[in-house]
Order: sequence, then C-alpha cells, then structure tokens
Amino acid sequence: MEQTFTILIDERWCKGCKLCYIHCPTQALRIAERFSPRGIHPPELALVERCNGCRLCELLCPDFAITVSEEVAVHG
Amino acid sequence: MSTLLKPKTAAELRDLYVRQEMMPTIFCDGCGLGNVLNYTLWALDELQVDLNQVVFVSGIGCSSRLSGYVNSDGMHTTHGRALSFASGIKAANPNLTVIVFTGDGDGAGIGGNHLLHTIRRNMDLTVILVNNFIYGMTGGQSAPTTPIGGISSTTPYGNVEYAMDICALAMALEAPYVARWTVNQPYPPIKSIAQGIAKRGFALIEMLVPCPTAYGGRNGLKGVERIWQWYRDNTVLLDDFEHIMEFGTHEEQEEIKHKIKVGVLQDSERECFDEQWAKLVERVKL
Repeated sequence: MEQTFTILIDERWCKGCKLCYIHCPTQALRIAERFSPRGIHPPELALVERCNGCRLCELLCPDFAITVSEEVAVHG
Repeated sequence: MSTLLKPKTAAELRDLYVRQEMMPTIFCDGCGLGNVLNYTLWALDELQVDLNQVVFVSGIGCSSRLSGYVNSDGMHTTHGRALSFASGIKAANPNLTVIVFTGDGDGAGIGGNHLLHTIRRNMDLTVILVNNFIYGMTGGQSAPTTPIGGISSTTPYGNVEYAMDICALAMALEAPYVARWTVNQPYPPIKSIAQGIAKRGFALIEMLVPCPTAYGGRNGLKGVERIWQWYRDNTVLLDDFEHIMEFGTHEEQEEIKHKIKVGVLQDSERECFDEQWAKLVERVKL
C-alpha cells in the first residue's frame, strides 16, 4: 500500500524563511501565492505523491511550525 | 541511548518544552539559531531528561536568547559570564543538568578567559557554542572568529586578524567531548548534543550557524539559500577529511585542505570537578 503524508503548517509561527522549500529533497513543497495572517507567503505541500515523509522540513524548521504526519488511508 | 533516532513531532516537542507565549522567536529569516534550539530539545527528548532537573544558562547575544524559549529554569546572565554562573550552579547542586547557550562573541571573545578556565576545571557542563562569525545582535562587529578578509561593521575593508579555532582550543585543554556541526543536517547534531549531555565532564559543541543579516549580506552571501549553501560547500566531515588526506589524489587534497572540519573531534574520559571535589571532601573530613 502506498503511504501518503500530510504537512501541517502552523501559520502563527511560520516566518516564511523558505528553508523547508529549499531543502526538500523531492521538491514536493511550493511557496503559496496567498498571504498568511503574518503577511508572508507560507509553504504548502504541492505534490502529495512526491512527499516520502522524510521529515527533513520538520526537523529543519527553526520555528517548530511544520509537522509531517502520515495520512491514514480510507478503504471502500 | 538508542542508536536509532525517532524524534517526536515538532508539534509535540513545542507543547512539551517551549514557552508558547515567547514564540515565535525574534530571529531573522534564515538564521540557524532556531535550529539549534530544536536540536537541543530533540536531544533532551532522546535522553528522556526530566525538565525540572535541567538549567539553561546563557550570556548576552542572539544565541543567548535561546534559554528564554525553553520551559525550564534558566538564567540570562551578563556578557561573557554564562560559564561562571553555570559553574556556580553545578558546584552548588551537582545533580542538575546544566546546559549553556553561548555565542562566539560571548563565549570566545568577551568570555574567552572564562571558557579557558571552565574547560581546565572540567566542570560537568554542556556548552553549545553558536558560531556565526560575527557579533550579530550589536550590529555586526568583527568577532574573534571572523575569517580573514571577512567584512564587518568594524572591518569595512576586510578583517586582517586570523580567526580563532574554538574547538582546537578546547582540544588543547583536553576537554572530554568536543564536536563541531553545521545546522544543515539535523540528525548528527541531535545525536552529538545528546552525547554531550550524557558525558561526565565538559562537553563543547560548536554549532556553525548562518547569519544572513549581519554577516551574509556584507560578505557576498545575500539571501537564505546562498549562505546555507556556503556552509555545505565549505565544511568537510572529519572522517572524509582523514580518508581523503590518506588515499585521495593531490587535487582532492588541495580542495578540502582549507575547509572547516565537522564531526566529533574529541571524545575521551577525564575526572570532572564534582568527582574530584567529592574525593577531596571524603579525604579531609573529620
């Protein structure tokens, strides 16, 4: 079964430094067009199928703003 | 300590260890100080240390603000004197785990003498010395670690003084644990900080942290991506360095010769201050 992952971004804490976007080994992230309440462009998961859940973005985020979690597949 | 790291998620970590009302941090975009805080908290979590038994001590500077973000007891002390305060805490209550956050200006410049004598005394402290090559908070003056030719607000035509190698100094003073890491890779520093905390005796972990605001902008490394890449290009793992110096070609050797070596540089055993002190008390008591 293919595993899929979701990336939760805490927009209160994200400063928009783009470190996650720069370091993502599979280039699964992109910088959103919209603004967050802090007035920056937050990162978002663009290509869900490319994310392999390595958690590098979560470990590298200087502001504890990213959490990678495994998505539970729904059968039926 | 297990060899396989399975870190908690960032959300779990911040709920457990971080003072929520202080967040987000004051650090600039692309600063690696937030990463140093993350790695330290992940290391503490890895060791399952009780946060009530941990004291964070720091001096003055960007790096020294880190102690304020952790939800444990801490001290934000005078410039360069963090190690003296930490020594006092450890001497008064040897059961506490004392972690010192200090910067290159704070720890090696203004508090250089305290660094020498705390290592010599072999206090059981874990010192996380954040080296960003500059006095960042006060406006980018040159520090003892600014590389030769580096431009700062006090050396606008390039620095003419040689940079200080803090790890070499600690190794010369026979500190039991000396390591140097960049913030680019998360797992090695987490593991190394955990080893440093577990070590009996003085543990120095020098973290090379990019400063895009005060150092990068002046030295042709403007922007987050370029300064982070500089640290990738200009550091070499100690194991790789030794391997290439022994078996590599002349060109390969020339290429890595001037790079900064990262890795665990010294790991030995030496009786720490508490043990010596306990022995003395045992010997002279009536």
